[in-house]
Amino acid sequence: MNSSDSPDTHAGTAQHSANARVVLAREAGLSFQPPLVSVSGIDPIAEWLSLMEVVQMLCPVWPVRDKPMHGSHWRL
Amino acid sequence: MSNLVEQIREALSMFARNGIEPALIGGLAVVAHQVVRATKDVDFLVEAEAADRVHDALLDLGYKCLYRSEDAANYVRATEGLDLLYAHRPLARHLLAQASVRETPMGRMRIVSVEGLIGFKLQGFVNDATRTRDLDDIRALLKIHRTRLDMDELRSYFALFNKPGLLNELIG
Repeated sequence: MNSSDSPDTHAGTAQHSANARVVLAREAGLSFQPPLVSVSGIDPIAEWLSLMEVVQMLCPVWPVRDKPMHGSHWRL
Repeated sequence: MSNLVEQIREALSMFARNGIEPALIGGLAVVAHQVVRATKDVDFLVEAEAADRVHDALLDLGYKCLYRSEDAANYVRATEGLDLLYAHRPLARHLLAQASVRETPMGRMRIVSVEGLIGFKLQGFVNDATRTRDLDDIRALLKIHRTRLDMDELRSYFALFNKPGLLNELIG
């Protein structure tokens, strides 16, 4: 029997095929994450843009930082 | 609203022109990780070696530098703000390198991992305990991503800031 016909080999090939897209993406040098969906099923950034449209109408002047960030615990 | 989108697009374009690959952190990264809340915080993690280039480019775009240290910088332009954290320690460099790419309405951008984002939020809170929003963000991120998080990585961040018990408190 040809070794390539063995169930183990087929299982390995199937596994390899299943992972192929991941491997190719990694080989392209990119760790790519497809858009996530929020609980509502909408891309969270698109949902945030819709939210901010309303926020902008209700609060046209958003507070801007007027003092620098401070602290001495920078460990990351 | 379009101003904010344009501000982010402009910043991404500036980074690209200067050959810099930042990663989104802060409130917008929280949104990208499915905790949708109102925020106009534009925060990026950039490699420390790019600090001078980014500084010059932001001044060219009309920003004023409010503050700058080896760890962080704050820029403002009229009603727009932009904050930077500089990756110069191994942990931040690792988080920057591991940030994943996402297509967004503002363009393609890299976003720091949930675990890394929680680490930066914790750092923000430890530096300024009045920033309780950071804790709210951590709590919300833990709630949404609890089953998929690398708990060892998270524990290491809480230990780093001498807050080992806080993680369990926030998980609830």
